[in-house]
Amino acid sequence: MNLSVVHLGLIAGVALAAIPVILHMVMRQKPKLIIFPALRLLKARQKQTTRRLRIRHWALLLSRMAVIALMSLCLARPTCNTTAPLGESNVPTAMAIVVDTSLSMQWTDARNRNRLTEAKAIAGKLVKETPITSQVFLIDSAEPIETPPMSPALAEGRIKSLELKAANRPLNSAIEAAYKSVMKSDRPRREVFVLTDLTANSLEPDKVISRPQNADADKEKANPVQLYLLRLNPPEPLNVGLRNLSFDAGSAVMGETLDIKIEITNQGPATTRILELWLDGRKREQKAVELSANADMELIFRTPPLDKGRDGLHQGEIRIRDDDPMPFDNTANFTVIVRPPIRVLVVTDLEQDAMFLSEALDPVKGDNAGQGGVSQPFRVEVLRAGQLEERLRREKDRPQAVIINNASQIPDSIWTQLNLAVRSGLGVAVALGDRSKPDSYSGPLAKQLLPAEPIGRVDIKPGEPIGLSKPDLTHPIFSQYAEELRTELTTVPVFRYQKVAKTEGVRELLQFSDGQPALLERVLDAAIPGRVLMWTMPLSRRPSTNDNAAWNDFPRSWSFVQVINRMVAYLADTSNDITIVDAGQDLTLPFDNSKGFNAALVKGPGDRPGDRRPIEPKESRLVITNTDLIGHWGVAFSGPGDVARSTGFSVNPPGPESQLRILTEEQLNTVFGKDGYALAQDPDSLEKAVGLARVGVEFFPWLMLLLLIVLAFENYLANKFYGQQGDAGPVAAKPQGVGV
Amino acid sequence: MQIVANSAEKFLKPEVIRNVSRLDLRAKFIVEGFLSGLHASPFHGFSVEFSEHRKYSPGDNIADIDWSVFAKTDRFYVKRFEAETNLTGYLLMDLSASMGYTYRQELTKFEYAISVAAALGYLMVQQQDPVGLIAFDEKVRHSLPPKSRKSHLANILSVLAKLQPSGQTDIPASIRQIAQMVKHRSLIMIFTDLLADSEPIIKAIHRLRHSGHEVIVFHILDEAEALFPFDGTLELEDNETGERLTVDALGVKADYLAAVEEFQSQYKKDFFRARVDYVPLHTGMAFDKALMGYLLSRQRKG
Repeated sequence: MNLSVVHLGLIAGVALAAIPVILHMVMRQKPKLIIFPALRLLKARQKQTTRRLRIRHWALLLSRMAVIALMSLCLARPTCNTTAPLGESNVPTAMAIVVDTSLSMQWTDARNRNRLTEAKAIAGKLVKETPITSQVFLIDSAEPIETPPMSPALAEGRIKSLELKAANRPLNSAIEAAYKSVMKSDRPRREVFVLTDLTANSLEPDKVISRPQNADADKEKANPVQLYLLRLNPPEPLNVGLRNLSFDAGSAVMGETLDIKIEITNQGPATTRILELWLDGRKREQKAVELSANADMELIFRTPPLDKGRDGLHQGEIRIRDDDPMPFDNTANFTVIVRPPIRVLVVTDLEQDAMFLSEALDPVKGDNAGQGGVSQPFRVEVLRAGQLEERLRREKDRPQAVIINNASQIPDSIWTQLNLAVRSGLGVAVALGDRSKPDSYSGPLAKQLLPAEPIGRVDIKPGEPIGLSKPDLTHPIFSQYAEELRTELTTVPVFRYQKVAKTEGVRELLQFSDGQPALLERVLDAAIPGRVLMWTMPLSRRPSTNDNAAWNDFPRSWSFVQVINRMVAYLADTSNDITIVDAGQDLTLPFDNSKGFNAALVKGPGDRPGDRRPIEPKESRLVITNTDLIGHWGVAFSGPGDVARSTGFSVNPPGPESQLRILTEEQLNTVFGKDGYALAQDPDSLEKAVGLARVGVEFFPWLMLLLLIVLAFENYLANKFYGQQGDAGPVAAKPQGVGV
Repeated sequence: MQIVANSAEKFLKPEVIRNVSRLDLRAKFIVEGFLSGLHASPFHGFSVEFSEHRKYSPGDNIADIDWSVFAKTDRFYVKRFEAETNLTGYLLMDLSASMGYTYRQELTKFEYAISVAAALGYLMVQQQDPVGLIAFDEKVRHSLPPKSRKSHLANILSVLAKLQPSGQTDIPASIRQIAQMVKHRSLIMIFTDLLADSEPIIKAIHRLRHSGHEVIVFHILDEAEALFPFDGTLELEDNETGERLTVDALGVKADYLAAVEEFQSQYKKDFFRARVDYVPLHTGMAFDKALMGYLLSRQRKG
């Protein structure tokens, strides 16, 4: 805080306050002496009287000193918080204007003006009022980079062209860029204006904004860069929005339905909204939703059975039918690429070892898929080990996953075959049981593939089975229904298991309750990472626990179906079938380049021309970085001749943009420092804040008022003391003048 | 007649009586002024010389008819009141220095006291009651024995006029001394400001009462002492003791008046219990209040 006066010498006038003290000493007026015989009646109250008198004397003296001191201060005209020479409005200024263009600025008021329009109007006014010799740096929060200076007239035009941008960034970077820009300017006054709604998403509250240091620290201290924050938040932040659209299943299968989950957030009183599911341009379903006040809820829509369509591509939206002040989050987009059911080969020696896997993955069996509303994402083929080699060689109906369960012997030729297939994207799971001969699983070829080597069977004490524990809940196999799974798996009885020696670098996904590994994963380093899982117990059971082949009762648990389904989806790597991304996030789009594409056209919603990318012959992933438009995007691959394929993805607004909760003062203090900014709530208070910083606070009126009050007080006291006193001489007894 | 009465009553005001320098005239004027105002009051006929006669009317006691008037006028007049008592009065004057004080009044406390005393002496002599005078400070300084002759009044007034209040006083000791001096039952009228310790004074006056005397205490304060009309910062000095005290007048006024009130109430309560008449006066008050105090006491005796 700076304090300045018209002339420093005038402050010295405060010393004149000593005059009343001197006068008091020199010209101390003696009290009037009066003869008063009834003095004895007063003596009892002498102490109290004397103290009261002394206080009044001091009050009078102090008030006289205060009068003189205040008069001196008034003449000195003190002002606070100002750099006096820059107080004039026509001082050339380096003015950086940071405009928040994030989607939350779309909030529209009753006059049909959104926050960005307000911000642009205020920015325009600021620019218009600044001298023409000023430099303006206009920074869009979506592009937080230093900008070259422009004239106020040019800046006015640029401000008008600002628009909302879905792919945005917190203001921290933009404000730092603004600091850097104005620091480079030679204009005597430097100011940064930030026009934002200051919602929780607009700033990174933990990231301190550092001011760049000027080489001349003294000059910087004398003329610091002023930062003004104008909070354009809505007076009543009412909004119903959609966010976090996701799919219940790991993949979308041709001919199957798909469950779509959506979160609805309500900021405001309880209300009812109608939500609609649109798919491929047609409305498929609608639901009326009752929303509690200031609460979130989750809703699930189910699509009709998805057909092959064009290259399996389906795009749709969930929409809120009614408008509200913030329309951007009333639609959530999604893209689904359907694929044929995943082909899974189950390799066993005995039919009963395949039974539970087959039931868990393909309960309806092959041709009846999709009937009865049961999702049927997998097709299971049961094979003997001897058939596997031939099946893997077959081009038609290539499997995406192989499960070898309790198979006694796996010849080296099969391990070779599997090694090759895994490096081309095949997922393999091996489950060891009573029939699995350790030699078959510990040969050099098997070791290249498997995450562990069997070293001996462990029999648990009869009647005291152990359970399964410590599932890796971050792994896709266990991430869904994680807590329920963790509880359920502890109840799975295990009677026997295969002890193994782990290969280096494998991941342990599940343990037995005695700490030995139950499920291990090895990811092979290849162009397409090959996934190999090893269960140290069979994925099947026997009716009697006395049976030497009865190792566990896992298939009887509901968790068996969940884990096996998630395991196969993971092995087949279906995670990229569904492509939804938040605006501004990068997207990696995998594609099958076996047909030799040489180009891809990435086209967003609207009229903007598409972006054509060349494709290298071995390239199988397309990275898309400019996801700045909300809606459905299309990607068209093309190659020599008629080779072509279409795919796509959807871009949604970032979920936090729907939240209109504003940053607290503590958070702002953390980011900018306690005295590092001036916060204004509206244009008027911004004007005051600017005036305060430029001109400072004039103390003159307040000092004058204080002076009048003290003067009146002094007058009152003085009157009380001296007002009605006459001569100071004593009054004595009158002489007697009586005669007879 | 009314005009005459009004002109006589003006001498009840201290500021008027101040202009009358001769004490005998003062006494006469005060008494006449007082009596002229009494015509409408219940205190008729408290004198011999100024007693009233009125025409006889049926129902009056025949024994009250004044035959000498009948002899002169051949009309029946009823002699309603005639002084029959022979009450001895003593005027006790406090000579303390504090009595010589006034702040802004025409008369000091002492002048006021001797005016009242002179008037009462005049009144008593007129009623042929013997009246004496005792002046005291720390002890009895002057005394005149009670006599009812008119010439005695001149002596009393002469002594009164010469009295000067000065120095300290010892009221209890003086009263004890006086109690020994006065043997017969008398009406003792004390003129004092009572500015001393109250307890010994009260005890001494009780002793007077126990000796069978009627006592009237004329408690005379200066108007300034009674009303504290000061303002600003003052240094107050007790002219008896020389003590000084600096005060803020407005600040202490309420406290002081409360102290005066308490001071007077204390005396009033104690004297009432002892059947001593207590007449609080100050130098701004008309004299009739003092004379009324006397008459009330006289009536009780009569």
